[in-house]
Amino acid sequence: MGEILTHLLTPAVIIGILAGAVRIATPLLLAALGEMVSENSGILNLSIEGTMTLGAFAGFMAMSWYENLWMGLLMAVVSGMLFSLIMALMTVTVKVNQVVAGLALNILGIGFAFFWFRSSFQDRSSLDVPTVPTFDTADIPGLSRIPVVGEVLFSQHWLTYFAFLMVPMVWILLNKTRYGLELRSIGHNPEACDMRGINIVPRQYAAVVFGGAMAGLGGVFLSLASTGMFFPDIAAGRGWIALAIVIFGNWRASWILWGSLFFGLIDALQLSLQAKGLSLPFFGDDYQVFLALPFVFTIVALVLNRSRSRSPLSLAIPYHRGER
Amino acid sequence: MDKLMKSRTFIAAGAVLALALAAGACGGGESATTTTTPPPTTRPPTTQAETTDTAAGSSAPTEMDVAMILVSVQEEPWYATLIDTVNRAAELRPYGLDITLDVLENIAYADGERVIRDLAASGKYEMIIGHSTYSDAIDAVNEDYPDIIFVFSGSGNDPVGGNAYWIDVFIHEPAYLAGIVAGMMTETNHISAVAAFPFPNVNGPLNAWIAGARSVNPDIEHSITYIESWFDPATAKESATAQIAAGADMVYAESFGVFEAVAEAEGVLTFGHFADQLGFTPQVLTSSVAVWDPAFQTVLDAWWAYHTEGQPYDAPMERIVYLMADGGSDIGGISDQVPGEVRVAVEEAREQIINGDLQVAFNEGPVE
Repeated sequence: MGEILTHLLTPAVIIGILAGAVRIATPLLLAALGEMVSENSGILNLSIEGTMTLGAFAGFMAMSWYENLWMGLLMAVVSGMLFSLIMALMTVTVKVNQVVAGLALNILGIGFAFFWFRSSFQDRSSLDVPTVPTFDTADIPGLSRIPVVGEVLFSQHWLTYFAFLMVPMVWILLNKTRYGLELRSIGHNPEACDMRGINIVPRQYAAVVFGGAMAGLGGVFLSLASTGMFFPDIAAGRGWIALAIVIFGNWRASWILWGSLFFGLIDALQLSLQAKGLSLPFFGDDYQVFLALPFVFTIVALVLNRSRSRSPLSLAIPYHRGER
Repeated sequence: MDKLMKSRTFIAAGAVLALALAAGACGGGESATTTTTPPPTTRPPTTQAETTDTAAGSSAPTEMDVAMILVSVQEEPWYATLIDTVNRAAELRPYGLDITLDVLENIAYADGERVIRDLAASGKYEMIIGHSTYSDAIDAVNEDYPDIIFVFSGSGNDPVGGNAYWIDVFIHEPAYLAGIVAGMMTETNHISAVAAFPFPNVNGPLNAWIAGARSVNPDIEHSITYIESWFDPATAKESATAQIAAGADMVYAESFGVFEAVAEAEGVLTFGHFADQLGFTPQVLTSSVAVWDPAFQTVLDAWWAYHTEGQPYDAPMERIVYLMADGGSDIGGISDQVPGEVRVAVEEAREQIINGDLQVAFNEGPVE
């Protein structure tokens, strides 16, 4: 225990863990913010993992075609939007079971990305693994020189800054605009909104497509910022963690930020302890316990919030006009 | 209204069905996988020896079609190295055979039996390789297809026997040599490795790598990070970054993602795993390389003897493992950054291992 404290109180280690937490949190934050907007409109989009995989792939593919990182970013957004358009069509227009549609789209997204990837990269040998160049981190002039804070917050990737910027943007959209109020109202009581003359369909489409764009960005962070690789399991469960973060964050933008950072921090902490070769109190070398912690905390948060849950009341319930 | 609802339900049902079909077609199972055949290679002129070989029996086979199923994707070094071996054989044409290879990726263990049975029933393949922990799946199928030779690989399997061969390559000896490089070149005396799971085939080389480093530098401290995933380069990169922050200057890359972290750091060097990864990033010093060729030749010989001499398949009830002395593994290319004295030490140790003077333990336990 003493060794762990000594390790954790080293300034370089603290900075390393915090900066790592921000990096690990970025794709989670992007995907979770988008999902939160979608869920606020009443649509539970479970296809985040598939959408992230597709976004990672589209970015990777565009990069290998155009050798332009921004083009890769754009393609990731477009692919996420197009893919979630299928989700919107299925759930808003056709009104199928949202859970089934979301799960099926996951398989479709990952399968489609892999299919296209393999059609493009065949007959590789062990010496010839497809990779592309990645974004460099972008130091913000001045701010990145601030001790600790500069290294943790201002020597990150553009996508990380964008993700953090989106937190207040989404908050303003949902809480300070008429459009956001209408969107949240649809999530709670679509029938009342319908009677008020609020057009539900385009708003739900927009919310789901926004969620897809954000998930696409979360995915492309993995293939064009973190590592220059794509394989079908690149998302490695991050889409599911993003869904957990929405619950953990109780459908509020600020809490989703803290949730993402908290999940990132747990991961960065365990990686740092393993990196130093330190044993945990009680658990010894069983670092796997950290992999379970985010979900344990999510369940705890779900229980604690049960009376204050801001879960949209009509979440995942298809709205049929004129039915009770 | 009623009619509208009915048609809507119908559309919904149709859409779900279509989606499920599309997903099924793209998601799992063999239709999801891409089949790759090696590009046609230029065939060397048939030598005298080959002609005699082919003439061994009047009905001697002239072609061997190999199907290989993988749990993950073909780029991963564990899979890629065996694919390379089969492709090399296709060029070398042992027994004058035309060898073709079809690779099926992302086959979950639970789907293994179905896929292997389908492949066997297709009648197209003479050899079916379940390139991982597929012994249970093969055990359920192999007796129904006595002419086909089945192969499975790596730790975690159980022996099957008969026409089902269990092959493996241990790369702990080259890993020991790579460890010597790390031990002699480290400046912080902290070496580290990023690895997938505490799995026997993973731990063996890591333990040997550390033993190699310790053999030349007793002051070494080490740390291993298991990322608990076979493929998650983003987490592997974070793991390596954390190790570098903790003082490691030699990082062994059991998982993809480490090279990216090393490339962003200063004064940190790295080691490739399983395939020769020299040049993947300029900081790679050398690699522990698996060579499946002798293992593949062994099963090919068994198949040839069965078909030409009627010699029954008799797979040993244990793993067929090839070590460095048998050509089953070797140290990969060595970077120019490695000084001469280190190269000499590596070469000496290599010779000692090959002639048996130096025994490197294959320790499958978690790295202590």
